[in-house]
Amino acid sequence: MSLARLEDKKSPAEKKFDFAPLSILVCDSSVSMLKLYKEALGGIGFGSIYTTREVAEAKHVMADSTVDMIVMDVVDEHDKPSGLLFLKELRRWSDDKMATLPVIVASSRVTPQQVVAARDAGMNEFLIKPFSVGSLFRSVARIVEDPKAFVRIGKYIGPCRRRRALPINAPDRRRTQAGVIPAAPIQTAALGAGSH
Amino acid sequence: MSNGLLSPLARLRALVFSGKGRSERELVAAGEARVGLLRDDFENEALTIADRLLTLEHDIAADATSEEGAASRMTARRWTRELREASLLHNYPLIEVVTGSLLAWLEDHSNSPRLARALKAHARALRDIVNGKLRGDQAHARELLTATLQAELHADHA
Repeated sequence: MSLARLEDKKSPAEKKFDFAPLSILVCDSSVSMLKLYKEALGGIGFGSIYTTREVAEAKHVMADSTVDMIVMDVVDEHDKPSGLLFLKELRRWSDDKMATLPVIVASSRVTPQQVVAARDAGMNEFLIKPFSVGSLFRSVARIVEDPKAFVRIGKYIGPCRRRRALPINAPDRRRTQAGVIPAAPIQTAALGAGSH
Repeated sequence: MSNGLLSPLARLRALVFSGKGRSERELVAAGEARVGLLRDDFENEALTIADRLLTLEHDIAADATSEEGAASRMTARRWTRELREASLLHNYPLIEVVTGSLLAWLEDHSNSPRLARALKAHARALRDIVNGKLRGDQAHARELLTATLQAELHADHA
């Protein structure tokens, strides 16, 4: 049994997280918020933390460096939804590794419409600002603890949006649909050196 | 994909749960400790934002609905929101009260001179809090703030 599966059996208090091999990119127009993110994520243990104020800079970082996860504000400094537009664009990139990158969308103005818009743009998690270090940790942890299948269905491209397991009265064909990248079984032994 | 056998998220999962690492409680405590070290930076930031807010007073007073006035109002909202978010994370309830009040003014009031006076009064209150002139718990702070704002608004209006 893999180490990841063994961790599943443990109670939340016993689980050990090691984010050191991962790199994370944060895009937020506020310099002081970027400082807070950097310290909070550094404390949580991320090995590399890239911070940018604009989407264009974020794209440069993604082109030049390995990024495993993104935290992005919905709006830019002009209050335009550039974060959401970028997320939609990212989900349509031809490079699977980039298109499926987990993205946490952060926002200080939270309305049901905004959450639905972020979900439909392809977010993995939604983080309400101001956040605590604990809520930031839990957003990151949920992505790795409960990976969602990545789907391309109709106009939607992104992680599976189902959050509840409801019974269905027909054969379940979801995993056989074209365009679904399932959350594959964990095979830590197959994880080659240099994968990061 | 970096490895044909693993989906990208499964790869992250395998890296994070490699048997090393620390518990959620330890990691969150480490993050909070590092964020706590930014408190001095935050106070400087609060003073800077208070000063910056004052620079917007003229545009807003002239006409909050003109192009310049609307842009200044949007900028003031952004700075105030940033400060409020940081104040909550750094546990500065007095600044949270003032910035929350100012945000409400910036979002709900279009009367230019009155909005400009409120902006000035809130910016002054922010400076007073950081400089230690306004103290007390959150409830006390609300009373103090109300009294301060009333005095400022009436003084400027007279």
